Amino acid sequence: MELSVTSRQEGDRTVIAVAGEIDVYTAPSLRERLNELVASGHYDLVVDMEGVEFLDSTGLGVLVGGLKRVRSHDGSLRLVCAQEKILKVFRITGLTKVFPIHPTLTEALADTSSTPNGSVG
Amino acid sequence: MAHTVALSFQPAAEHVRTARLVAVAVARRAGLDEIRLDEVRLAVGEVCARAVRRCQQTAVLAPVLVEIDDVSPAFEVRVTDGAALGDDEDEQIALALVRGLADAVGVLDGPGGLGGVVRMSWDR
Repeated sequence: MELSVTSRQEGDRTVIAVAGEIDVYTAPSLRERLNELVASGHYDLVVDMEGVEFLDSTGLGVLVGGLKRVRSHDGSLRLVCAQEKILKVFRITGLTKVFPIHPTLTEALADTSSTPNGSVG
Repeated sequence: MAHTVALSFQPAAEHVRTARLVAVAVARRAGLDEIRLDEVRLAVGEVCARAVRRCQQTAVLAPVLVEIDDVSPAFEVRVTDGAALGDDEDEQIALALVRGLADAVGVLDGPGGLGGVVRMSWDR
């Protein structure tokens, strides 16, 4: 299955809905989309991962790269994910301390706290 | 290693998904529970992606070999690539993740040298 990446504006946030498998083959297309958004001035991103069926370390690398980019513009990158199998990947790698992860899109959009509670170096 | 199922693929990223699907299908048939199936899926994906990157970095065209043994006391998967790259630092994060997923992980010499074989196992 190919990766589907669609984005839309919700107030001052840009919601990126990702569906399918994020792996060594598909992750470059997500990286490209995130880079395009940041380059066009979108610095407050919410990546909705509810449709993601698989995530590997290549995908984690793309998300960490996106986080670094938006932070260099004082922006934010929040994740929406309630799936245990995906959350497990963030937990094993310690990235739950780096990304704000919300169980629903509504909660992610309602969160106005400043996000840098972890460092990505 | 004795194996019940083996698969080889050209070292290209688009084939990693196929390797994941095959490994999970064998693991499911071997009776691993859903939590372990998720671990096998991710670990095999990581190790095969590592093998593809290693081959691409060294322009090795030899296929990546995935051998699966569901007969031994533990469920075992062995991934072999032909890259002559050593156990490079860039791949330590992928391997650290795999060490968190499998019950035992060994990195051995492959046909191209150090780091070319990764062996993973899950206790039943």
